[in-house]
Amino acid sequence: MILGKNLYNKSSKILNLFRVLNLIAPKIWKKSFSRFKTKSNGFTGGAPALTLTESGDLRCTSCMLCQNICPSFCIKIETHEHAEEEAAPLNFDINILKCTFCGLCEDACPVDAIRMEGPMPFAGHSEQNWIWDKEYLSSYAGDLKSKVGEDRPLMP
Amino acid sequence: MFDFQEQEDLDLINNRNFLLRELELEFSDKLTLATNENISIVVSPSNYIDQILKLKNNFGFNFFLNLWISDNIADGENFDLMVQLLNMDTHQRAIITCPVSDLESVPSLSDIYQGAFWCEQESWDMFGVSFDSIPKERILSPEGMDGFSLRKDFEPRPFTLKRSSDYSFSPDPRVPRGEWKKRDVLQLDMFNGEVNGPLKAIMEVYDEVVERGRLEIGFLHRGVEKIFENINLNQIMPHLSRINSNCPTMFQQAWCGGIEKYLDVYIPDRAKALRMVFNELDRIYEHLDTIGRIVDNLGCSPFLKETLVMQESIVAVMKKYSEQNLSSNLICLGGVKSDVPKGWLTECLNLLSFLEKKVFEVTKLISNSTLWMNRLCRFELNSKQAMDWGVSGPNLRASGVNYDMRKVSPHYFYNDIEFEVPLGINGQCYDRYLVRVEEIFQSLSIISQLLDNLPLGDTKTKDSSVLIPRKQDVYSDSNALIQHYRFYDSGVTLPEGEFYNSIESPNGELGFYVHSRGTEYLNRVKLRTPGFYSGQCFTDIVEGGSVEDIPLVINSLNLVVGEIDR
Repeated sequence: MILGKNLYNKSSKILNLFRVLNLIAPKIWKKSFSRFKTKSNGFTGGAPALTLTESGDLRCTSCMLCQNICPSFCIKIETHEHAEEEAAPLNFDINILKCTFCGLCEDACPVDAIRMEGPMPFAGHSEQNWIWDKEYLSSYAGDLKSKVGEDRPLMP
Repeated sequence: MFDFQEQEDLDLINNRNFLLRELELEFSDKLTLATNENISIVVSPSNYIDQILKLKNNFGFNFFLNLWISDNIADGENFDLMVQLLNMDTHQRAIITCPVSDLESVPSLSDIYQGAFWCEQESWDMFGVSFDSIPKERILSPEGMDGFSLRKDFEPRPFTLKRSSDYSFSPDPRVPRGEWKKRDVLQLDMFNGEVNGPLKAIMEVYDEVVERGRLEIGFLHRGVEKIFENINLNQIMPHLSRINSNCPTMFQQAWCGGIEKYLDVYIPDRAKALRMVFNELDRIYEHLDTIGRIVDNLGCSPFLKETLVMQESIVAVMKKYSEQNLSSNLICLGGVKSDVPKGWLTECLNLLSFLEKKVFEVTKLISNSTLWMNRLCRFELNSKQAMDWGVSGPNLRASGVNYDMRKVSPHYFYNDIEFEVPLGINGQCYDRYLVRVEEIFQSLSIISQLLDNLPLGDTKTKDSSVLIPRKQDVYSDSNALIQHYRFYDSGVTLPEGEFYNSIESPNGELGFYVHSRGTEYLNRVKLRTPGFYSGQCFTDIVEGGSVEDIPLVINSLNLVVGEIDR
């Protein structure tokens, strides 16, 4: 004991472990014990991604609403020659360099085919990497069920 | 008991009626009453200056709001010159329309209202209508460009950029020529970080003292008004939140509020209250940004960190609402996009108490310190100059003019809420800073009053003209699907006519003038952004200051370049 300070006090190892944990990750503690958690409201943030049906096909029906409404004109859809027979698009390209992530395409889609929930990797080697085709856009479809709120249920 | 407030309201109505009667006697059939607050007067080019002088001297229209040109080539006519003035006693706005052509030059207004200078330069830049005594220089678009970009018949062509290196000043009439020759011209290029966007200050200096100075703008010009003419009303929404990224919901509120007023759409009470909450949060964010930048200019970096922490806490709370940072499309036509998430109100109240404590802590340390007072108690802008230039918002109130749009023409619940309007005395940088600090506290009290009495009910209107069906209805109901297609295919169509709507944004009066021909696309949109007018008074303020204080002056006026250049 130096001048009343308990520098050399002995304490149990378990208590020290908790103290260290509290220093490193106070957020983990607070989150697990906090009562008030805001629940997501159906809004989403992220890069655009295409969703799939249970059988693994694209949900998109090429209605062109998202292409027409996009304020930065970054979506380009090409349909099949006989669009009445095959509704799914032939090509679905998004130029992600033009995209402003405003989410209007998500609002406009009547069949819940496009969602702003994809990952946002902001690094790449060439400009070609930034025009995302339908294979790339739908490759994350399995993860897109995290943020489903009251206003935005998944299409049955 | 005698009610003073009621008597004041009665007086205001009487005064306004008296003014309208006098105006009717003067202008008779040329005057039309567009809305409750706006009148429009048509004048002929021959007596254009006389009529405006008469309006200023006899009818008290002493505040210059805006000057712009509307293209009428589709009608077979030429251009319409429009001037908007404000009578500060009765809060009456007037739009004066005068047909002009690009062949003859129009008499300039800049002797009567100084603030018209940049507006008239912009009119030449965009439409090719020239004014007497106004230099024919590009103010927003690049030097060397062909044609006038806001005309309907404009076709973009490639051009070679002329770099104008001549930033000289004309001889100063106040000093002898020999003295004037000793002065140097200095350019100061400022980029993001120092001030809010790219700007250039050109100064005439003698011995490190600025004798004269002016600002060069147009480095961030995106042609927002031209873009708005070529996209439908749905597509305009995300563009609005990106004009000034510090207060996106202000722009959305001014736009949506104007259209809703024009279409006569009823907005639910809950949506009104929520919109006010977002707007006030944005106001706090913008003022904190201003204080942080001033602190940064003086080199007190610990306080910059504190303001950044406060700004981030606001972003974090808004992110829990909309999963995006500030620039989310939360405000939509007909209400608010989504109801409050569960538990969000608690977080918002926590944020208020955190901010109140932190702002008090920081400003208590700064406000009375000697360094702060010495550096900031300078650069005066008196009330006459401020009103002449058309400066509005906190910069005008710092000069001692009691004019707040939330008090004089309140929208939504601003009438029922208790708050005060802080005023400065000298119009120095210090007053501008103090007014902003006090406005943060007032905004905090407004938000807490709103959250205490948040009305229940829907957040979207049920009016069929702007109704967007809910997503779960679209998936199951065919009627909803048809309406969904109709809404997103062509957007809302405005009937033929024009309107002007303005609100009190953190930097001043923010207004939208919209003219529609009844088609899917709008004919003319004009933004009245406050920075465009406070930018001009830089010339008056900097005289006698030193070069190192230039960023300080710009930040104390809070010039956001995204807003000025549009």
